Amino acid sequence: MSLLVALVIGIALGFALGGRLGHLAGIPLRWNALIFLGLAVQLLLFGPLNVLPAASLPPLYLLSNGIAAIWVIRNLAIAGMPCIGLGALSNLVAIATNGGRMPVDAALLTQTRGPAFAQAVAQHRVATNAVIADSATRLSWLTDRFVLPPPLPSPVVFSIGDLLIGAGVVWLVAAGMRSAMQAER
Amino acid sequence: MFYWEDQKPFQEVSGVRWRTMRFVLLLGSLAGALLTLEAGTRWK
Repeated sequence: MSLLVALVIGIALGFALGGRLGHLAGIPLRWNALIFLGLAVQLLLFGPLNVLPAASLPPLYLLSNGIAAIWVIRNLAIAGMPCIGLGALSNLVAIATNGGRMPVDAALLTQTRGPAFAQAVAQHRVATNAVIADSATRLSWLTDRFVLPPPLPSPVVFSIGDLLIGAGVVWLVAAGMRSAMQAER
Repeated sequence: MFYWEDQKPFQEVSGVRWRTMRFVLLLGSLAGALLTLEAGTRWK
């Protein structure tokens, strides 16, 4: 959840650049139901209900990302969205080439979530979209191999794609707060 | 579209409420996008 901080940074940057929060309502995002549909699929897969069979996880996880990708493409003309799209594509390629799960650095996962959880992921005892990276991992430079340093809350392992998505959201929010302001002039 | 005589379309009833809804929808969509697209960071 830590990367939701991108929203906060975007709003702070928007204010710093003289934008207004209320102008965000003017950003013409379309087909937003798709993003909630993709999120709902992931909640069914990884949420507390966890009602779906394990074998269905990789294809349904890819499907949820595909649904979200359609939303990104539909809104590609909005400032910041191309950056979000590039990050999403990066993650999708990493996941698709590694069997439908995102490889994660074992040492960093242990550092952020503890050894018990890292071991559970390694032994596939927990419903997650992650798999421990090893020598067979493809495109390892696109996988989860970075960690948010302190003092940011709840450290999390993330990928280059995540970083691009976060940067895109910062860009979209800050530009959205400013663009409406410029239109008023 | 049909309206009762003393009714107006939602947008006209309250422009402020409509903008607030759009604002909340935008933030919700972006939060949803972050959660859905950032592979591996939130479900583990």
